[in-house]
Amino acid sequence: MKVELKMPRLRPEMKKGVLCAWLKDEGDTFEPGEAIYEIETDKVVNQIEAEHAGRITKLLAEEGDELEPGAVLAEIEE
Amino acid sequence: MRLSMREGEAAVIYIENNAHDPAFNQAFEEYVFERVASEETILMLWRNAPAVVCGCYQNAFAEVDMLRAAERGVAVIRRISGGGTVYHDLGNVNYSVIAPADGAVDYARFIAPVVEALNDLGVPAAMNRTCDIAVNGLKVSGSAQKTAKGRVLHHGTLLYDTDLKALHALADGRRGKFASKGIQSTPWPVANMRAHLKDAPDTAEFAARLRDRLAGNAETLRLDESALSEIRKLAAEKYETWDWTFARSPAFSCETDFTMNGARVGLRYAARRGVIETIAFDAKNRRIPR
Repeated sequence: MKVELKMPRLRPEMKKGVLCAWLKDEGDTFEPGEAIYEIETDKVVNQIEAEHAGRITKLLAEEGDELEPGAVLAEIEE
Repeated sequence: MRLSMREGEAAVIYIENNAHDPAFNQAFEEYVFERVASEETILMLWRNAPAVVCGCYQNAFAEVDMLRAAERGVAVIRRISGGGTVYHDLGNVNYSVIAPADGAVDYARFIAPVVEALNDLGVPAAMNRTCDIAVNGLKVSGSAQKTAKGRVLHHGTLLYDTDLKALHALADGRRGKFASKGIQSTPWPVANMRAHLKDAPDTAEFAARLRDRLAGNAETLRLDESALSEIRKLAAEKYETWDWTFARSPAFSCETDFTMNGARVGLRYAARRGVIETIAFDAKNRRIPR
């Protein structure tokens, strides 16, 4: 199933987050609990982990991009 | 309010670290965060010899006057949490709290007990903005966090008797115009807290009083030699390396100028992974005197 990875909202007041680092590349697979990317908002570096197993099919945001919650970061196949 | 008094949360344990080596201390904190399994809230108070500490995704070249730091023998080091650049010395007390987390960002949970402890000690501190503590509007503490694997590391500075001149000289950002992605520091006027304590004890005693108030008679843990040896390895292989602290800076360009034979010369360069890739000088319309 195709799913979109989106910038999470980590606190109600969160306006934007920076996609700091991809920890996986296009084509990489991941297991539940494995870290996929890191974002920073409000001086917190958050490692975001996969909920289900899957594979990254397309990266749609670049490291350093500042994005609103809900912005699509990547397409994955679960 | 002690850290252990949160409803439903297990007791706090205190992990002692009396080292002052900045790379070792960053590694110590990361090791405890990543490797010391605990359902309990962990508290650590520690101090660094003079160091400039950048946020995880900052451009170290734009934030730190590297030349001045090198001249003064001050370490420059990147940490794993977010936020801006701070200055540490033995007059500053760092506190680190590691606790289970659900992924939501929450600063008040960790800052409120620290504010209360400072108030107990006579410092009229209050929470300021999202993650600072201030006295009369002047920042005395900044904090940042890292979350991973269901845990949060919250840490902050506590300016007690820090050399504020050195702080401004080294950590106020650099001359020149930098353009890059990444996280920029947001400077705020700062102050020390020492004058607010009646008997103005030295920084070590201040840290001890703070520990008593935050952790009470919590169990004190010391890491064993095998853990310390892992930490030394992590310090050497990560925190002391150019790759971690400098090459990790986002790609950037910088425009600046300098004087040569009495004439101003413009300079523009672009760097990636800490290495200059292109450089151009511009002395157009400027006369170079003979």
